[in-house]
Amino acid sequence: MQLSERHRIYWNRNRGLTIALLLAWFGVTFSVPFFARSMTFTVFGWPFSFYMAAQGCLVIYLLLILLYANRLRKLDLEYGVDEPEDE
Amino acid sequence: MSALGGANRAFYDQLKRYYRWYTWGLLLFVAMLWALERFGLPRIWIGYTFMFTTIGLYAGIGIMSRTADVAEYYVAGRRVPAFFNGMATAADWMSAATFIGMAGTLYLQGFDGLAYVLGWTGGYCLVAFMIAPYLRKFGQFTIPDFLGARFGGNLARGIGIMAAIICSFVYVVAQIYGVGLITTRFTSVDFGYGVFLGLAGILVCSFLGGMRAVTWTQVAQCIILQLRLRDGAAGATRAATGERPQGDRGPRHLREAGRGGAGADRCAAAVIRRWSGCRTQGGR
Repeated sequence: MQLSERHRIYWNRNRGLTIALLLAWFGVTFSVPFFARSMTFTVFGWPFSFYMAAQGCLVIYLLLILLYANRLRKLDLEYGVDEPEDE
Repeated sequence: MSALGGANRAFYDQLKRYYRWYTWGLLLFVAMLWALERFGLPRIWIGYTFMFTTIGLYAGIGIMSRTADVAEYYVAGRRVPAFFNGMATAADWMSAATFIGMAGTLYLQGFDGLAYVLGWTGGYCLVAFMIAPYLRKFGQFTIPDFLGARFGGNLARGIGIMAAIICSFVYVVAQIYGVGLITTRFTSVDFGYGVFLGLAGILVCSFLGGMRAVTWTQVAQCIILQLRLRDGAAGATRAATGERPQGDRGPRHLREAGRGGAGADRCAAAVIRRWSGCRTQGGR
C-alpha cells in the first residue's frame, strides 16, 4: 500500500500519543518505588507509597490504556484508517 | 459489508445470551450446593461436585468450540468482541497465580511483594501501546514472528522466543502448582494425582479448541472469579489474622458476598501492614 501524506500525519500523531503515554507510564512506575521512603504523607489512611503500589498505580495504568484506546479510535476514524467490524 | 456487520451483531447478541444464562446457572448451582450443605451433604461430596462440574463445564466449552481451522485455533478467528476479550484478559490477570501466588508473596514479603503487582499490571500498558495493535495488523500468530518480521532477522525473533519460554515456564509452574493444590484441596486426592487430574481438564478444554476454547473458558472463569474472589480473599485473611471480615457469617455471608468487601479489604490491608512494618498512626 502506498503511504500518502495523510498516512504520515496519522502515524506521527499516533507515535506522539504512544510516546507521551509511555513517558507517563515510566514516570509512575519509576517514581513511586524510587521515592517511596521520602513520601511519608497518607492518603485514605494509608501511607502514600503503599497506596500507590497497591492500587493507585494500577488505576493509573488502566486509565492510560483507556485513554490510548479512545484517542486512537478517534484518530483512526478521523484519518479513515479504522477497520470495519468485519472484513 | 452491512450484512456481515449484521452477522457480527447476531454473534455478539448470542454470546451475551449464552453468558447471561451461564451466570444465572452458576448462581443457581451455588445456591443449590448451599442448600444441600444445609441438609447435611458431606463436605467431601461438595468438593467433588465443585471439581467435576467445573471440569465438565470447561470440557463442554472446549468440545463446543473444537476447530481444525488454523486461524480459529491460534487466534480465535480474530473475532472475539472487545468486551469479552477484556473479560478473558481479566481472568488471566486474577488466575491461580494471582490469588494463591500473589497473596502468598504479599504475605511473606510485605511491601516488596507489591513489585510483582506493579510489574504484571504495568506490563499490560507496554503490551497495549507497543505490541497488541501492531500484532493484530501484522496478521500472524505469535509475538516472536512479529518481532522477527518487524526488526528483520532471527536475533529479534530469538530474543522473543527466549522471553516467551522464560515467562511461560515460570508462569506455568505456578499455575500447575495451583491446579494441583486446588484439586487436592477439594477432592482430597494425592497431590501428584491432583496435578494430573487438573491437567487432564485443561487438556480436554484447550486441545480441541485452541485459543477459541481458551478464550471462552476464560470468559466463564472471569464471571466465577468476579463472584467469588472477594470471598476467597476474606477467608484467607480471616485464617491468617483471626479477624472476621464484616458479613462473613454463615448464610448472611453468601448474600453479602458482593457487598461485604470493605471489611475484607481492611483485613487484607491489616495483614500487609503487619508484615511490611509500615504502620499508620491509626493502625492496629
